[in-house]
Amino acid sequence: MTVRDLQRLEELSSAAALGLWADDVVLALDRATSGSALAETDATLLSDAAEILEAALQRTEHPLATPKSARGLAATNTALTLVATLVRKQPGTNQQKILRAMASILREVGQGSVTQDAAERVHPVMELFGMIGEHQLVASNSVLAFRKDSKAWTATPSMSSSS
Amino acid sequence: MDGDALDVEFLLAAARHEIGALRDDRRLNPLPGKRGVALRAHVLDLIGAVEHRITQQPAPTAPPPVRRAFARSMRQSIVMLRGAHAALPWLAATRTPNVNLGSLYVTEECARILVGTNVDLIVVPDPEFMYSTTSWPFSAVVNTTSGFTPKNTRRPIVLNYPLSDADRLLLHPIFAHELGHSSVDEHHLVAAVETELDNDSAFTAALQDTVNDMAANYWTAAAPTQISGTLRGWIRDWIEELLCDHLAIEAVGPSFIWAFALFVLPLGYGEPGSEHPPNTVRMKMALDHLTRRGWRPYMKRVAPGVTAWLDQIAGDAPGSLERPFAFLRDQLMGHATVLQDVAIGRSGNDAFDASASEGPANEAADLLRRLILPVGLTNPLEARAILLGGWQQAFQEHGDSPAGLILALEDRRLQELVGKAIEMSTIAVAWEPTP
Repeated sequence: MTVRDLQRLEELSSAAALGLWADDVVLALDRATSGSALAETDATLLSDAAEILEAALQRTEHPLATPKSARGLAATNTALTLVATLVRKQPGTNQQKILRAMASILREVGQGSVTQDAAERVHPVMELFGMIGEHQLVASNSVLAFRKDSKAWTATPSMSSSS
Repeated sequence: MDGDALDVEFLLAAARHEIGALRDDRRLNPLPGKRGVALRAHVLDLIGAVEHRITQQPAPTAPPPVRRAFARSMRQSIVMLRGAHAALPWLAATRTPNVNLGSLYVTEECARILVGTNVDLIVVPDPEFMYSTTSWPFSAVVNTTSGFTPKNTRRPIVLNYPLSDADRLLLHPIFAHELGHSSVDEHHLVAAVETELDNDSAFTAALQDTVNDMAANYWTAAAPTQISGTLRGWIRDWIEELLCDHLAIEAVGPSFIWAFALFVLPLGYGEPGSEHPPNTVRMKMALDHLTRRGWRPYMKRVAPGVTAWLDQIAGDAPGSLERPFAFLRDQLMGHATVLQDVAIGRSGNDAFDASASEGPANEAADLLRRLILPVGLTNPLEARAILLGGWQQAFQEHGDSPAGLILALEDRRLQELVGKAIEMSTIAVAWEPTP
């Protein structure tokens, strides 16, 4: 009937899974660019990561087009928030440019096309997915400790009635 | 330093310690019988997934961001393993179930109808006063572990009920709503509804208007993408709750609406939340679904007063609501038949049928009136019909009024008879004499 401990465990699992996945992407990028043959599981992982960034890009172009799965929605929400942070740190760029470039790198590496400058090019992608991993570690610790970050902008007292 | 050799050494030892703490707990020992076996296997799969992750340690020469990523994945795994301790009391509870056995049998029948046959149902009391459920609690983590294949294929479902309600059978149709959450997940029912909404240009136009309005007037610091994502999340949660109500009606008929009224109306009336529609809206949509499924004449016959009261509550559904809840309410009430169709499609031929069940419910109520165990005079009555007959007799005995609902809940004798009859009828149906 309502949210209690049981859903909290699912929330913990979802938060942890997204963080683990993001960190797996970092590890897979390292393996893929360090000279060893690309494993099928890594290729799938990198393709999945590219898809998430492409879905986030699509959301910036068509705000009503949200992913159908809860995992996709959560992953793109987090990616968009963190890419917005990167944009603030790098004046002159924008969310769409960053998302498009990173998705493209992930596609290239995931298809085994590793250029000489690959290690350098994947570095910002690793940084973004590392940020997602950090963000989710905080999130899952918060769930475990029963602390939920307040969603201030959704709880504005300026809401008014409408019939 | 984060991710350096000492940090990783420490984290690997800590992860192995957490794994040992779970594995060595006696509550994780093999279980007698079938109940809890899938949940236990699911916990073991989580442990297996973490053990698999441990083997993915990068070389000490890997760049710092890579070593930090591995260290983080160990920390995340440790957080998850600590969370997994929550499952141990549930496993222990399977050895000493304390919910009414008759209620458990009806709930298992509902699980078969709504979710499927491949489920492991665990019903446990919650010290807090709330019903809730979870299934596949660790699957997100297990399934995200690349290269690891879980062993468990049977869905574990844990149902929580308020400790005080163990023998309050009249409230237990709420379990059908809780099982609805597992059904929605198993059969992707929210997506089925959402696809229909997205195919309706009036819905997408209304969503666009609401996003624009929220961005301009209410959530002014948020981007349209963020607002749209939030509204999508909320509408999905509302769809899920409403679907669970509809699925419960498919499974147990009007018993659900009476249990629902009894449990939720003392807690709230027309207040919306991001995860739950207002009770007025839920009542309106549930009553409309019952009417479509042919239950209205029966409800008006056995409880005209309570039915009129519930109709009155449902009449408040279109009242004033805050933005953006009015949008959610209007869209979902406007697409009520989509939700009904999805629930009807799921229950199929196993739906609790109004025309076929009224007679058995009358028989059960008549036997209860004479203080006879309502198992059935000639053949065993269906468990769900006994439960419905229990409600019917409750109105007769305690009054067809809102206060009568409360008095019915206090009638332990009636609820014991109903539970015992369901238990005996289930055994009688399942009994196959040895040749």
